[in-house]
Amino acid sequence: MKKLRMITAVFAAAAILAAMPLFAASAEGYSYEIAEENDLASWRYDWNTVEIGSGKTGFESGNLKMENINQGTANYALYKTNKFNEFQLDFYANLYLPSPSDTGKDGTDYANLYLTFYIDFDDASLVENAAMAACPWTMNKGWFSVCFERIQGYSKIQFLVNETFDGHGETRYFLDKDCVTASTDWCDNKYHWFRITAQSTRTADFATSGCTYTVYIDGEKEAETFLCDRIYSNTNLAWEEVRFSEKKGYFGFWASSGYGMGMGTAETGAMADIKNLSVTSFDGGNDTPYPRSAMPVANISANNSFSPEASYETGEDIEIRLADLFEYDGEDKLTYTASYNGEPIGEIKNNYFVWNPTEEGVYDIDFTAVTADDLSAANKVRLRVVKGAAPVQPAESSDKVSEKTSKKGCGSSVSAGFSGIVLLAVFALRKKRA
Amino acid sequence: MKKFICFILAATVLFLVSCKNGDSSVPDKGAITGEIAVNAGYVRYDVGKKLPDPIVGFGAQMDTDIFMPYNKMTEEDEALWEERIKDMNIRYTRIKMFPEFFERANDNDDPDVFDWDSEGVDFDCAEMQALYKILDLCEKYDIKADLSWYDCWSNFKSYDGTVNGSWLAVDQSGWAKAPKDFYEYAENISACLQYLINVKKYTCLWGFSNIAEGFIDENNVKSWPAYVESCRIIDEKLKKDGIRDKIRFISSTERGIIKYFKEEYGEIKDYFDVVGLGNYSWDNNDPNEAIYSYYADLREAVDEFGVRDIVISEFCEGKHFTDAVNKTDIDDYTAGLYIARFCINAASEGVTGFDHYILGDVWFTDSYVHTMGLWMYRDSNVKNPEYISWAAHPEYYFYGLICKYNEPGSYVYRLDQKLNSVYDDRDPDICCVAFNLPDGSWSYYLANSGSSGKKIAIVNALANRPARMNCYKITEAGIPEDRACVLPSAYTQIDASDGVAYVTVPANGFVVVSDRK
Repeated sequence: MKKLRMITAVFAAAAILAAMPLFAASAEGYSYEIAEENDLASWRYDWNTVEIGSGKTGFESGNLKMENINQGTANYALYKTNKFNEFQLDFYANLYLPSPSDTGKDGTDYANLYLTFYIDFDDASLVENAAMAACPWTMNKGWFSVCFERIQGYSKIQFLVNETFDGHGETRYFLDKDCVTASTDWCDNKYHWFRITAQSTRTADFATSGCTYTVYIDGEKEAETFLCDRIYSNTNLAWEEVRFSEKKGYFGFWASSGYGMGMGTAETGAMADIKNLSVTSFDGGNDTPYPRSAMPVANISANNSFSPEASYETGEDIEIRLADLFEYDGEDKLTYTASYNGEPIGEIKNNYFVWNPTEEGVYDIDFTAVTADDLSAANKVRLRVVKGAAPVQPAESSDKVSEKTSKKGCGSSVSAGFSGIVLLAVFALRKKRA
Repeated sequence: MKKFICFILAATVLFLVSCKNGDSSVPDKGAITGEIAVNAGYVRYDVGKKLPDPIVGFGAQMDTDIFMPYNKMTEEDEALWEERIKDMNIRYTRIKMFPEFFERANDNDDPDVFDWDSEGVDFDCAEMQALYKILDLCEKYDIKADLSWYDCWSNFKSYDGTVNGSWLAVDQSGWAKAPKDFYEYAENISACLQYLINVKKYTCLWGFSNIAEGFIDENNVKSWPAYVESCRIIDEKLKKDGIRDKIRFISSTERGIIKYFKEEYGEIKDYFDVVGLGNYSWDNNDPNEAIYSYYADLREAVDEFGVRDIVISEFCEGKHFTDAVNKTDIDDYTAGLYIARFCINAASEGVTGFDHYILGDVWFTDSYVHTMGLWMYRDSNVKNPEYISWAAHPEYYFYGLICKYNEPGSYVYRLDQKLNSVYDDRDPDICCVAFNLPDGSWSYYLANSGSSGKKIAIVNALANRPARMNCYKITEAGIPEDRACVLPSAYTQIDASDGVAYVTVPANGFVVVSDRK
């Protein structure tokens, strides 16, 4: 009874914790709270992600995580729901991005995470692979970046102006005075609180009009820079009016490193694990964080208009694409089953039902599809199987087939010829005796 | 005694006759002259017109990057690539070439006299060693090579670190840029070909090309006149050096639209032996008609110039590029089905050479991974533990069968659907073609882009028709879950000796029927 009470208490505590609306995390004594409905890092519906090569960017762990960061991969994630000018971005993250010299591995000595701002799409949700714009020179869209870079033993924070406004994102330059070594080593394989703020100053004078960007780690101010609205463009070799104080855009992450091809997180440890991310736009006097976008309502049902072929033949594979049997507007991977009279039938391969019937007949096959959230649908499909041509034993390999064919063809003829010779011989001998 | 002799003769005749009837490898069965009936329920396709030009080869691009040290190929990796090249029967390739690979600095200022001993000339460097490795493979497996000058490598950095930049490019930005001196460029091409053919004795060099893409003028606009002029000078130089008749000059075009192609080719026709052009025009949603009608028009245009071979210098499914070396569809099954449909439709209309771009994913120009190969890079198992290393992209299975059951020198026969009335139309879902290989065997390729299986009867009444044939198929369900690079074994055999091969082509499937040994 005492044990039961204890279990009940543990469950009650767990239930209370689970029901808490706020996340509270701490790093080195610093903590910050965000409401669950403002936590964007655990809400994949607000993001566009792109993975190149073996790069891995996803939400399987419950929050945004980037892995397998090396020269041959790319990991991108873009917050696609809102664009803004003045903002406060908070996240609780383990940016474990050791450079090759830290781990003794081969490669060019850097590893970094770019946060690129003012990504200039009309509507990012309509752009295929929009996340790639987090790399300034991939789509020439992101005007400004904050880069957490581990290089030659230092954990740096860098501000970069990307001349994407002139169509030359690769022509980016560091604001050197603000390229600092962080006093808090953000690359210590621990979670820290990161805050980046942007506050605009709007005046008639380009020299004083602009935006101030500040980076905090665990509550400590680490770096700050001011970008005025008139900057020198290396692309055009001229002073240009570039309105950082007014520009609204999206923001995204891009992780990269100099590790050699094929070096995944399992080998290097390099990854970015981002939790509890919230964005507050100060545009128009707002001061509340963006809520998560509405969860898309996924529906699944049988596709009753699916029509199998008029008949199938015994001895021939039936292959039915299971996605054709159901109507589903969600993004989960579906799990399928197939049964006949309550018993499993055929096999599911690459999301196809595959069955090689041996008996003629009419088969009502029951198919089910289940989502990760246990939404399910069933569909019964009638398959008519008729007698096919007698199946020929499949060959094990083409060479063997050829060999077999050759032997069979010649072998049967030789035996026929030999039979003829024997018959003629018998005939000749009989004649002679007579 | 007479009786005994008669007996021996009769026995011999009987033996020979019986042996002839039973052996599928004996070609002389005699043409079938009467009407051949086809089983009910099958759509009939007759082996029809034989195209005049034999196949040059099916293959894929192999660049020097494969064997550059930065690609870090182990002995096992190299053996694995070679095994795949052999197993797929790769017989054609294009190889990216740059002047800077061996001429690091100008040999001298006289483009008429190449200084082989110049300090700027190095035929033993890492870049050339990588080229020799590819050419050695070409020699070993009888692969026809197109050594393709991609203009100049403007920001070239030699692997040994001694050279940074291009002495010949118009400027140092970008990567493939036009030469600033066409005579020096022509000298470079001539010297290289002389060295490879006359000194190294490579016989696999079937052709060479000069790519038009990089010919950009001072206003950053592609300049066709500049390209034409460079080709004239190259042709002239190779003739002067006595190397031109030892290799084919393969053209490069900027525009695929037939009207513009005719205009462009009209300006360069005197310099080239082979029409070469790339294609990324369509994807699997496009109808067969789009592909075959385009190539029918191209064939007609090329015929006007009296050129026989048309080579697709680079191709794969188009429309889905994220940049020059990445595509969103690379792991889509339908990208593979498209490849089969593309090859069938293009071959049916007179294309003779096919170079898939590229053979396998590779660390490219020491900068990034080129992911448009038939198989993935070695780290394919890092992200997907269920995959093998160097796992296949779906295209591999389709193109592997296409290459394996073909051969340079094969003749193409159209397969014509029998229409029952003038109101009937070709089945838009099916495309198919037949090849008669140099060894006498036959391969039928059939692709079905429809959502239901198709029962097809291929009627071949020719005297050298095949007898027993093996059937190989690719369907999405059959793609190995670990993406092993293994081509499927025959799933059945059919008897086509009476002139008819019956086959069911699965929905969205590809079938090869062949008696090739």
